[in-house]
Amino acid sequence: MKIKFNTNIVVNVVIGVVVVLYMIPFVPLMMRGVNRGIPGKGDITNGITYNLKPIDPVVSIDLPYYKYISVRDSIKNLRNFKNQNETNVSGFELGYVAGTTGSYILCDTCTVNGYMFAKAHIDDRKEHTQYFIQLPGWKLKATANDFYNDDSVKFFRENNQSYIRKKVIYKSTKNKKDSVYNQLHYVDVPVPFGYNQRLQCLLVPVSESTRNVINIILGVCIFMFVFYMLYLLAAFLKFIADLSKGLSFTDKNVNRLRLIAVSLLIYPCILFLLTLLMRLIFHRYFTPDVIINDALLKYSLKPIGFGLVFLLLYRAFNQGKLLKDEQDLTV
Amino acid sequence: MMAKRKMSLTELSEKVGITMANLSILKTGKAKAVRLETLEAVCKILNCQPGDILEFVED
Repeated sequence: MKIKFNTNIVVNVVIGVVVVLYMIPFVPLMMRGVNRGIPGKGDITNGITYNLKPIDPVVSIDLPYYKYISVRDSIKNLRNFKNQNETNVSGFELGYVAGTTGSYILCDTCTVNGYMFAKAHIDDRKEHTQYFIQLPGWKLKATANDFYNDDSVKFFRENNQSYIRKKVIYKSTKNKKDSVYNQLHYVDVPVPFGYNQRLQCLLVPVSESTRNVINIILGVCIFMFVFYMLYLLAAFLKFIADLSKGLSFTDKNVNRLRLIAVSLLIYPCILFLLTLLMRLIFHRYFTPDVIINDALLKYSLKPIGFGLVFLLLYRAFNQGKLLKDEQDLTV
Repeated sequence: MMAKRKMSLTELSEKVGITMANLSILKTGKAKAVRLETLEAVCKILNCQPGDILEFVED
């Protein structure tokens, strides 16, 4: 069977994009094949030394089951409070670009029970709130389940300072076969940002007034975005209505399809660029351990897919319109 | 040719059997194509050759 490429450049581009989109999930699998297996020439092996005490107390497995669950949950809640993930103030959030939030500040000596009591009796909550700009497009290299990767890090707060616990090489030995053995140990590195482990997004601490200004800007952006989405929806509904009336190949329909296709294809690009812009704006809060959220890329696939479908529809309807015009002007 | 034959647009459209709108498109040069049967009918009514009513103009 011979496979022939279509001469139409748009069709080729669509085929190319679809193939690339299907290949993306397999790339990490292919990359994982490197440096695995029996150490040999050019291989790297890592060993870990547990040189630091655990971030949170370890629950004894000798406890009765219900006691174990209770202690484990209270440690988890306390960590949640300490990491300033207990949301106090909610704000607007513009997709993966930015949002605003605020959380209670917990003193390190407080217990969760004591804090919950205090929280219920706080008269002026503003005084006990830290405001943040949250950047969902950026996350730390680690997730809770990903801590066992050599590259991953863990965020925590102690003594009103944010840290990340990461593994670094402190001893590296090379044997005769050119294979390298790295001895890793943990270090706690102070960082300027906050982090929400559950939402996996970076938190930039800001003052209340900054948060309010950003919130207004985000509110306006969201309003414009929603308005534009409604406009696109209206264009699509008008297109459907015209089809039902038998007015298929008209200038208006072709323009509507082009607008929807271009908007859907540009949307992920703008989202990506704005996410990068956030890094430029808040560059002093970023460290090499902060990476772009891969969920952003996954989220972008849908609009690209729909955009390609609308692009093909636009091409088809444009062709149909040309034929119709020709037909109409044939006497 | 129509002037020579002293024929109006309305009369021609009635005799050829095409609408006034289409005849207008044909006369103003907006038409993208002409059916052979239309050309034949027009030539028959005006008693002329296709070359008498078609002219090539370079853009």
